[in-house]
Amino acid sequence: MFFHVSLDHEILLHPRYFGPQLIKTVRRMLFNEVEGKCIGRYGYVIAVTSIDNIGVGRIQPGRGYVIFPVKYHAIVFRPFKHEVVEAIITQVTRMGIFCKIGPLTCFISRHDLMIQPEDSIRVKIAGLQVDAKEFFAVGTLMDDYLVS
Amino acid sequence: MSLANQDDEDAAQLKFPKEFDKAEPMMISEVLLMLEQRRQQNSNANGLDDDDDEITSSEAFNDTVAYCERFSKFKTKEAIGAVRNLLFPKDQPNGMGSTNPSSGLHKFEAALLANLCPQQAVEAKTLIPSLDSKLDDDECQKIVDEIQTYRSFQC
Amino acid sequence: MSHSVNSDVKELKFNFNKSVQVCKIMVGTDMRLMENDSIFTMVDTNGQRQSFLSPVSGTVTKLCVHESDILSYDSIILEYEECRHAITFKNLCGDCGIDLSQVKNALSASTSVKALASIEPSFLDVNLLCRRKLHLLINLDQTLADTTNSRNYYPSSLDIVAYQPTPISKTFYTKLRPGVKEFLTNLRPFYQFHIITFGDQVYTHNIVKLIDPNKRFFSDRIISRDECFKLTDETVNLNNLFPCGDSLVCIIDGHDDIWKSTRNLVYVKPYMWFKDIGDINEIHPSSATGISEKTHQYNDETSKRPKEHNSGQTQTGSNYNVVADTDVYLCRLEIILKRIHTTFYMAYDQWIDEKHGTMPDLKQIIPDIRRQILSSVSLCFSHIIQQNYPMEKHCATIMAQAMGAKVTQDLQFDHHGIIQTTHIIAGKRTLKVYQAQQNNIKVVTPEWLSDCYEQWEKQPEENYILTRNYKVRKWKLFTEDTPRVSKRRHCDMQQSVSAPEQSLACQQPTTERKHSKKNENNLRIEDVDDSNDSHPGPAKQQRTAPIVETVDKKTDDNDIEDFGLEGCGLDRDGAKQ
Repeated sequence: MFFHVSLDHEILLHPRYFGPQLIKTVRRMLFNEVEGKCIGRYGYVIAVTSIDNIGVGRIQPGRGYVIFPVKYHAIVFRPFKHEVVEAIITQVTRMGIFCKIGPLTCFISRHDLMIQPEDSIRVKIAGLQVDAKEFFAVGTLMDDYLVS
Repeated sequence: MSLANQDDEDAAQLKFPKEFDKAEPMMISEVLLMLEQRRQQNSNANGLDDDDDEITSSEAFNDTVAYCERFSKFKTKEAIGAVRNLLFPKDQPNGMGSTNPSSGLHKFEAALLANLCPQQAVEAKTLIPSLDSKLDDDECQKIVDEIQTYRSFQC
Repeated sequence: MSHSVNSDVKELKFNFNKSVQVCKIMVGTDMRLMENDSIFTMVDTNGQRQSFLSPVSGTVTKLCVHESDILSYDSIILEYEECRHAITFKNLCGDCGIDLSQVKNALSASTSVKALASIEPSFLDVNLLCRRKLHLLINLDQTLADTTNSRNYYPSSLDIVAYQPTPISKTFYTKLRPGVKEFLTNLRPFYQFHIITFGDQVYTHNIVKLIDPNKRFFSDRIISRDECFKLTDETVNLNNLFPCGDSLVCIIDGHDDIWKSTRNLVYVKPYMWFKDIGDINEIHPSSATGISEKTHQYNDETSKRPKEHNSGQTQTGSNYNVVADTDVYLCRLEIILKRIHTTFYMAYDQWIDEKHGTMPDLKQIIPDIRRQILSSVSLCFSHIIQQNYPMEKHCATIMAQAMGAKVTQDLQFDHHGIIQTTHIIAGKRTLKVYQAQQNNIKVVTPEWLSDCYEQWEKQPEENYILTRNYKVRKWKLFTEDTPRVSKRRHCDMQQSVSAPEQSLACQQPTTERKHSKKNENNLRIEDVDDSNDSHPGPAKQQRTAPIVETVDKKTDDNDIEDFGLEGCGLDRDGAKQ
C-alpha cells in the first residue's frame, strides 16, 4: 500500500554550502538522501512531495558542519503481512516465481499456474523481512481471486 | 534489521504499526499522478540549472512508476477525484485511525478496494477479509458496483 | 489445542470456551493455511459474529467441520500437516511466510524448527539449483588454450590461430586444447560457465571469441582480474564474485597458487603447447626461461609409460614441423566434473528429503572426492623432500594427503611387524628403496603422484618404475610449478617474455622474498597447519644428501632451475642450512 506520510530527516552540511543557495542545497540533499531508500518500518520512500519545515541548523562543535532538521511529506510504499496486492511476474523457476510489487521483490513458492514473466497476478503477502535496507516478501496465490 | 514483533501487524485484521497512525493511504492512480508530476519537475529542474548535480530518479522510483502505470485503475483526474470522494469523504479526519462514517470503511480497506477493483462482493471479501464483518453482501456489492462505474465511464 | 496424530498430521481443535455455530467455511482440503488465516466465520449464542483465525500454518489434509455445525470446546476442526519450510527466500518460508530467523530465536529449544533457518539458497542460486547446475569458474590460460606471442613458436600445428588484439600490438598465436568444444557442450547441462581471466580484456575477448563465437557457453560471464583480486595478498576473493556464497562454485585452473586454500579448486593438468613460453599471463620470469627443460619427458627411455599424456611434445627442436596433438586430458576432466556434479546433487537431494543439517557445499564435496583417490595408500618419500624441509609442508606431502593417502616419514610396521606402507615415492634408489623392495612394497617415481593428482585416479604403478637413470630434477613440480605474481599488466608481461634474461636479472631480488613466502601456499589444498614449528626429519642425511648438494650448487650457479626449486617448496634458505 502507498501512503502519504510526514517524516523527519537530518541533513549534515559542509560550511562551503552556506550561502544564498543554502535552501536549494538542503532540498537537493534531502531528495538524494531519502528517495529510493527503505527507512525502517516506514518502507520505501518513493518521492518527496513537500518540504514542510527546515529547522534551525545546529553547528557541530569542533567540526564546522551544520545539521538541519527537515520535516517533509513523502509517498512511501509499505507492504503488510496478509495484504493482497497486484504484482508483475519477473521470473518463473521450478521452485517458484519471483514478482515485483513496485520496488519490492516477492517470492511465491511452488505453483501450478501457466504464467510467464510480465503477467500480472494478485498475491497475498504471507511474510516480510527487512534485509540490508530492503524489504523482501513471500506470497501465496492460493485464493480463488488472486489471479486477475 | 528484522521486523521485530511482527505480530502487531496484520492487514487482514487491520492491525498496523503505530508509525502509520497518521499515514494517509493512497490509491495507485493518485500515486501515479503525483509521480508523473514529479518526473516532469525533475526534467525541468535538471534542464534549467546546469551547475548542480542532477536529482536522479532512484530505482525504486522507476520501478514504482512502471508498477503504477500497469495497475492504475482510474485514468482521468475526474475519475480519481470521484472515487476519492466516494471512498474518503472530506469530513473524515486525517490518519488511519478514523473510519468512514457512512460506510464504516477503514481507509486501508477503501484504498484496497480502489486498487484491486473487485467486481463481486465475495471477491472483495476474499481479498479484504476485514470487510466481512462490516458489510453484508448487498452493501458490499453496492460499493463495488459504484467503483466500477467510475472505472468504466472514463474510456 | 493440537496434538500429534502421527508424525506429520496434526489435529486442530476448537479452543474457545463457548458454543458457536459455524457460518461460512473459508478453507478446503489441500489448501495451504497460514497463521491468522480465517478458517471460518461463526456466530456465538449472543448473536455476535466473528472469524476463527488459524493459530497454525500448514496444509489442510482433512476438514472436519461443516457449515451450520455447532462447535464447543475441543471439537476437532480440521487435520493438517505442519509446514516443513522446505523452500525459503531471505529467511522467509516460501509456503507459510514465517520468518524463520524469528522462529529460531523464539523456540531455540524446539526440535521442529532446528536447522531450518539455514536453508536459504540465495536468490540467484535458487535458479541454478532448479536447473540442477553448478557454477564452473574457468581460467582459460593453459586450461582450455595456450597462447604465445612469439613468432618463432614451436611446435607447429594446423589449428593454431593468429590474431592481433589491437592494431598496434604484437600478433598472438593461440592453440585450443583438443576437445574444448565437446568438453563445453557435454558439460553445459551440468554447469554454468564463468571465465576468470588474468590477462587483459581485449586478449580474453579474443580467446573467448575463438572458443565460443556464438556466446553459447559464456554469454557475458567474464570476470577480469581487477574484479576479483584482493589487493592485499593477491589472492582471489571469491566473496566478491559470488556474494551469494561459493558453495556451488567449482574452479578449474592449471595454477593453484593464487587460489590460496580455496577448497573448491580442481587442479587441471596445464596445457602447454608452445615450448617457448609459459602462460602468457604468467608473470614469473622463469616460466619464460626454463623452457628448454620443459619437455615433459621425465620418463627415461626405458619406461613403458604411454605417451598420450605428453601432448605429443616429443620433437623438441623441430621448429616448423607439424606435430599431432594427442592431449586427451579434457575427456578425463569432463568425467571428473560430472562426478563432482553427481555427488553434489545426490547429497543435495538427500538433504532436501531429510531436512537435516546444512546444504551440501562443493568446498566439502570436492576434497571428499579427491580423498578417495589414494584412500587405501600409505606412503613414504625417499630422496624427494630435502632433509631440513618439514615433511608435512612439502607440496608432495600435501598433494598425497589431499588424495587421502597416509604419509609417514619411514616405513610403517604394525605391532605384529607387518608392513603397513604400500608405496614408496622415490627419486633415487636409496637404502629405503632397497628396504622397501625387500618387503614387496611398490616403488614409484614422483610422477605417479602428480599424475594421480591430475587424473583423479590411481594410476597403474607399472608405468612409473624407478630406473637407474631417473632424474628427479625433471619432475615437473621441480621445474614448472612456479608461483604466480599477479596484478601485473599484460604489456609488462610481454616485456618480460621477450627479454627473459634481462628481467630475470633485475627482478630476482624483489621476487625472491615473495616466493619463499608463497611457497607454503603452493599446492595447498586443505587447511594446513601454518605454525612455524618445523620438524626436520630424523637423520636421513646420508640418503638425502645428494639433493642438498644439488640445491647448493644451483644456488651458487644461479641456474635457471633455481626458480623451479623454489616453486616446489624447497626454498633457498632451507637449502643453505
